[in-house]
Amino acid sequence: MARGGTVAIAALVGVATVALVGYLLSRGATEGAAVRQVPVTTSGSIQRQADETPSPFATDPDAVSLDAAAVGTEPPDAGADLPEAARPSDDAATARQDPIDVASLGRADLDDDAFVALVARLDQDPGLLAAVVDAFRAEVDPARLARLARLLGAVGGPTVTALAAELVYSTDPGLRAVGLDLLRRVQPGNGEARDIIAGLLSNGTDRETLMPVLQTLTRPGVVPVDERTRLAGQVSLLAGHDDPAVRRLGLSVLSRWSDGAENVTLMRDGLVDTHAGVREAAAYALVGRADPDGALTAELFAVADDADEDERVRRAAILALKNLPLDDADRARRLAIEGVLDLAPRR
Amino acid sequence: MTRRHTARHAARYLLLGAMSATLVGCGGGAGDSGTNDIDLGGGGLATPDDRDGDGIPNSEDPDFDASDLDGDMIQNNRDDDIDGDGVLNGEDDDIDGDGIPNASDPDEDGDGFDEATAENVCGDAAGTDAESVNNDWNDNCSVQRRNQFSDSLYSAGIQRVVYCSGQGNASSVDAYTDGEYGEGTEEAVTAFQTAYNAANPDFAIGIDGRVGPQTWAALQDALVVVQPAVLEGQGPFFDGYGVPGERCGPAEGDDAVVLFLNEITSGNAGISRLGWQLTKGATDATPVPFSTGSPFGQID
Repeated sequence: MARGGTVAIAALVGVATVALVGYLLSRGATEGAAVRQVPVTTSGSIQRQADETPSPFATDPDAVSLDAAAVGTEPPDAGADLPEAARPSDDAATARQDPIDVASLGRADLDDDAFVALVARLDQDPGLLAAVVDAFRAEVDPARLARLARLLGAVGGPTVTALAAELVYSTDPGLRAVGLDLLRRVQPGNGEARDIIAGLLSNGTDRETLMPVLQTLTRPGVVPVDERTRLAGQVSLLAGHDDPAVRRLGLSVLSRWSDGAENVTLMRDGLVDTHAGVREAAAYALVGRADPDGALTAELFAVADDADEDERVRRAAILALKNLPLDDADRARRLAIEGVLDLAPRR
Repeated sequence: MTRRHTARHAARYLLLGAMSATLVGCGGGAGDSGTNDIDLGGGGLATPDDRDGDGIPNSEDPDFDASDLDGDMIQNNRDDDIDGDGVLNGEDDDIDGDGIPNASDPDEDGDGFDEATAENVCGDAAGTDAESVNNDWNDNCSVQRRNQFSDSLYSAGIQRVVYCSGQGNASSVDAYTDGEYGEGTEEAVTAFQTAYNAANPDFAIGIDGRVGPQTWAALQDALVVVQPAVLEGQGPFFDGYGVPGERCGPAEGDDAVVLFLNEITSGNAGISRLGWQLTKGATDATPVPFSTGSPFGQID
């Protein structure tokens, strides 16, 4: 690894430590104590805030839900009594909109139109977004947490990325999972999120750590070429991981971050992995890849035509073959293999 | 695909193109940054608070933030104009948003239909699914929000499986199945993928809210034969499949709910499988195209 990368990772670890401390302080605060906010700058670096002003938001981790009156987010008179973070912005357009009871958000599923409208509203109103983030921090009900995560993930942006950055370094596995879910949602097109993920990939070694981190990369989004190459390089290292589940998901992610012939050698190596799940992922990763010398076609036929091979691996290989320009003989061979597999019902 | 459907989809993309032109014309594209904005309101004076000079100094500004690439006031990763060239349509270099703005994009030529790619294995200029005539779902067209199959019978089939598997909320499978792959369906697919991984930890698939080859295969894994074909008389014959469970009936018996039909023939070589269709509803076994025929129809 280049020295610059090492320094960047070291800086990220340091930043993460600060975030972790900040988050633990806020999470562990007793009722009425201060909540230490961990803001994120526009460049994505996390800073410890010296402000110890008590927060009006619930900090009791045992709280089941946010009560509108308790947190003061119910705006009876256009927000005059609201905490700063929950006040409607000065934006004239926002002020004309109906107030939103934050305590009611995430209590039930929204239809598509309502969801889109709410995301738009949160995009336009940083104060409202901050109030929802605070509600998210205080929530422990998994169903509401999931709905709020979906909402915040659709909004994205620095505020939500900062929240995810806090949670992914939590020592609480549940909170960490919530943070990774948020990170997965905001990652597409989000360089700050990808920086965090790069750090997590560098630090993780075990399956429990790496699998959810890899899942944050399943939708590449808009990524500069050099950054895509760097992240793909990190993921490619997992092709040699001891755990087949990591190798499998790593290949799947790698295929989404690799253009054309990039990393095809790793994918082809996966076809002869000892684990069927890896072989299947490798075959799917090879769908749509070019085969300039015919070697890939031969390797895929070796898998597809192997009666001892797992059926799902064979079917993945057939799919890859379908996307290659086969001559008439090979096409007939492929169809014959499919015909044999289709003799039996699925189950 | 019928001509009617082709025309409908062509009209859809013409409309998108017209919307794009309108947005570009009024400065909604991503090319403008907030700080460099001009007086797009016409005649007004652009200021830091009123960047378009229309007298409304805030988020009503049609170009108030460069991160809102499509100018829809939603600044997030769902922007239509993914490549940020200010044109919100098939001209996008990276229309599928996978971060690779190149020939692997589903709509490489910008004609409004996804070409065949690794992630969209069966698409072509006509939007048909000519290759998906076998027993596998993994070669079905990839489905996600806003792609050419996001309002289709493919989506209907996806909704049936995810709903019967316990994801999404509705009073019944038929009530849930509207064929529109929107925000709610995407989230239900995400939940389905998560649950699949929990049940198959060594065969985990990507959790991305899209239905590509591996998720199609996972969806098909959920199917169970609940009403085997009776090979008597003239065909066609169908094995009836469902997704048994609390939501969608038992695995066998009169109360079993048939949601998918797998057409079969019987010959000297044994049973051959000719592809999949939907039933019209949980109580109506009339075949409706799914992975064979036109997937662009509607469930009702």
